[in-house]
Amino acid sequence: MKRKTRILAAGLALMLSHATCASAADLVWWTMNWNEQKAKDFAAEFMKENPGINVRVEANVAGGLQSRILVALQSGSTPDLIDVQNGVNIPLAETGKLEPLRDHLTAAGVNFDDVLPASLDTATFNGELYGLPFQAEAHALIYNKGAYKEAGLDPDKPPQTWTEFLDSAKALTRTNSAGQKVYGYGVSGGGADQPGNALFRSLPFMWMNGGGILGPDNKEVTINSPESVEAVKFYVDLFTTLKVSPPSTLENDSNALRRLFQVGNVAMIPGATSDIERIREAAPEIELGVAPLPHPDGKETAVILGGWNFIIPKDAPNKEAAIKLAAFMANAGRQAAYTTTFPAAMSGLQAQRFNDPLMDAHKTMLQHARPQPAIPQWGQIGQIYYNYLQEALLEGSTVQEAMDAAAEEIKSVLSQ
Amino acid sequence: MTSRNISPGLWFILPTMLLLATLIIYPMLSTVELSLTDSSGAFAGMRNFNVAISAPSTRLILFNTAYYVIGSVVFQLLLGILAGILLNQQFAGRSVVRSLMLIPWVVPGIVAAMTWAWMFHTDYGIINYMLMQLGIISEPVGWLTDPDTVMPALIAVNAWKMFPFVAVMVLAGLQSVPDELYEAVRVDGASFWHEIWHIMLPQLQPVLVSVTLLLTIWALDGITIIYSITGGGPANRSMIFPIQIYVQAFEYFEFNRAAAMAVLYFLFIAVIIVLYMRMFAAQDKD
Amino acid sequence: MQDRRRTLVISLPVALLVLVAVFPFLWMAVSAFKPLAQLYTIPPRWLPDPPTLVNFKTVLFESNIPRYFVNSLIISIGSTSLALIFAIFAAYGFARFDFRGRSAALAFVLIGQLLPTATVIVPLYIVLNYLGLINTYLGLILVYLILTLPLSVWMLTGYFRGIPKELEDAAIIDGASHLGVLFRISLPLVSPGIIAVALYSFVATWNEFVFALSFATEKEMKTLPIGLAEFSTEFDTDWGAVMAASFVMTLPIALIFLVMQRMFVSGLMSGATKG
Repeated sequence: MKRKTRILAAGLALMLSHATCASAADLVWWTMNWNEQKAKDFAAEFMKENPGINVRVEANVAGGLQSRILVALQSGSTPDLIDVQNGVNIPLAETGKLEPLRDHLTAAGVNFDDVLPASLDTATFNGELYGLPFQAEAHALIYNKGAYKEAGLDPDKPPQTWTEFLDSAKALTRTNSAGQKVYGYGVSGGGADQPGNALFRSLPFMWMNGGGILGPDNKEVTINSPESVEAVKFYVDLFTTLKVSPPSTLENDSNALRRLFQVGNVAMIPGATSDIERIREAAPEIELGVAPLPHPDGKETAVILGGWNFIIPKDAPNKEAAIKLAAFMANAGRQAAYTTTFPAAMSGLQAQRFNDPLMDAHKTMLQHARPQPAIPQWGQIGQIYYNYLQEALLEGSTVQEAMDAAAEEIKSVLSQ
Repeated sequence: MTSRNISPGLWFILPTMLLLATLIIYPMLSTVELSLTDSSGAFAGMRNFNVAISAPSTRLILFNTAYYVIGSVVFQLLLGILAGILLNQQFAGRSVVRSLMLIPWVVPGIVAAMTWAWMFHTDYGIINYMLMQLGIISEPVGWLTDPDTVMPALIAVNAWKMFPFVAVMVLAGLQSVPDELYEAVRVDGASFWHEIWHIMLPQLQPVLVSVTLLLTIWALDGITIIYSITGGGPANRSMIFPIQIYVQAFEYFEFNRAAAMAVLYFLFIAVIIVLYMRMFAAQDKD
Repeated sequence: MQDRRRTLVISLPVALLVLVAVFPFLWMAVSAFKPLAQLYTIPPRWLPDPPTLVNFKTVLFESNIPRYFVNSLIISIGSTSLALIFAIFAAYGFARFDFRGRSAALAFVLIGQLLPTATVIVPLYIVLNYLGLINTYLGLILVYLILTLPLSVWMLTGYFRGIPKELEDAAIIDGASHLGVLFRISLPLVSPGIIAVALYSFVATWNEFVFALSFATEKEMKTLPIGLAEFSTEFDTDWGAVMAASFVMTLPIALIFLVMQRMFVSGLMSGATKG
């Protein structure tokens, strides 16, 4: 009994001695864990230029990121600068807890002409800018050249139109010489990283076809318009009737699709430049091809703009210093180093690390990239669409019925 | 043993009550306040509640929640009691087996969920592979994508995850059963089943009463497994209420609506507990 | 003779039980030794060829896991001990005394468990911030009491009830105080229960993610589940490293329990039989 007490007391002493408190004067920058080292290096450089400011970098993890930021914003005790995915920038702005940035940053010398306009749109709410984009990316079609050759297709002539795309997907779906089943294309219809993965992979089909979930003013619901339904049906049929997408479609998020691609089970997937890196690492034997996303005959391709922005909370204790740091990070060269895909400051694309022919298609797609609709209810609308997309993939209802039902629900969300 | 003025029992429970009150009362009040206001803080009456209830998927989600909770608790109890009794017997390697059995419970929830999602995967999952090798199925089963199998699969994962907890609690309960009780019936030549039925289970009753209630509460608030395996899909077929609350708050940023749902949920669980405690208190008297 | 027959009857279900409990973990553990290219294959590959230690190297030498291990240890031990101290008294009070409002109080203990995490987290953050306990061990230890204390009280109440009351009554007649009875007679009898409850508290806090994520933002305070999440990057999860880290997280608890078995047995020995 005595020994136990001693251990307990020792534990308590240890615990109290570690109860340190952070100094309030520090500028706190919430970066992501994969960027922690880079952020620390930039912070050191920044502190050298601004001797009065002390920057402390804290790393966030992707799991629960949104909840963590919201908890901080809601409670009023916040960091000073936060990296956020551009898709949540506007919903966060809508809470009223973000600092408008355009005037501050212009005064600090940021050149907004160099920033990809679609990226700026992801941070613009009610005409005000609530974020500074630093990373921008868009999907392109990644394909397995070996599978193309085996199926008798020309690996240097990837599909450009939907018709060509369907033909290749059908030709690629076969049992290969090693006796392995191969599917032409991976539809994302489930898994953990949803509804984001399914949205990023299917909404472009609607856009290319002249449809979409919402009209241009984000007030009108167009998800059950003929153009949208035709596009969703095209996407869903890949799995349901044509069976060129694997049986696991309803449980595949982006990671699962990439794994299937890596083992040669799926021959074409949509993906970002980072997917190329991952595949090269895990399956160096696969000869990769990359092409712009195929579009309907006579129409233009389209894609969702992904990426990251810096935000500054309204309650940030060191707002002025945070603006300085954001302006410092607006530099195209720094963004080119900091990003995991492409920088949002376009002149940064000249950097050596983007000088890879396999990235050309992604650069092209960036020019066709559009932001997700800039309304606070978008998260909810995406989830509704995703539920009915799954319903259609399950063949519980026709695509038309599913999209009609989705339209009803989305309308009621918009009217709340 | 009751005392005249202030029962000594009150002194025993006072520190715990004060501590919990400090931690809980503000969050509770703040949840109620949020549920009655809108995002600007203005009074909103019952509007959040109406919106929360009127969603078209509410019925399906309530059904799923009941299915998940009842299924999980039943199998957790069955497996757990069985394992607890088994591991209370004498056999070689008992202490190693007891420790191994803890593993599902000790593995971090997210990792367990991701591992099971991987094992269940239609195309590269080990479960379909094994079943096909053994000739039990001829083509891959979509465990997590078929509306008929997704809930049983998730319940299986949840039962696997928590049965060791029940087993440990049962084991601890069985440790304090006096040997004389067994010896008395063994002299009479009673069977093993007789021992379980007439000695172990009655002795375990107070422990099992608590365990059942706690399992129910956890299953009612357990989001990790479903959230990280199916996210509630396909098409809401595995969506449960606590995930809806989480999603409302942290994905839709609708804190007020999430609070309203939390209050409804709280009242619902409170009713269950009160009913349960009535039964349990009544049994306690004799 | 009878014991031997029992052993035979028992071994089959035990084997089955171990298989069910351990198989997914083995699948995990084996993946920790696989190089990236062998993780996902069709058909799945049973064993790594050749096995690699690179994932363990990542976890032990190139990640924050060792530091987080210490943090987790401090927080879990702190929270478990505090919960036990409070719960032993409370549970004894609930189990052995009848007083007005007893059921209501017992129900109140559970209230913290009934509020969904999503709604309590912001107000809790505000409370902790007010007390200056964000990013401290003490802050997380206190918050974890919401998870561990109710269960500990409920379970220990059950175990205390399981003790024959006559044992205590005899001591009371001999003039012992309530506290004396609790410590000298009842507590030793429920020691298996205490171990079980301690194990629960430890596991629950050891694996908790959402509170840790929100209330510990600095590296010096983060816990193991956050460390696991750090193996996920924007577009991928370093699965081999996650598995290796889970291995590192899981084994110590199983080992501690293996050692604690002795206390289970001693609880039995000092039990009612000698009374």
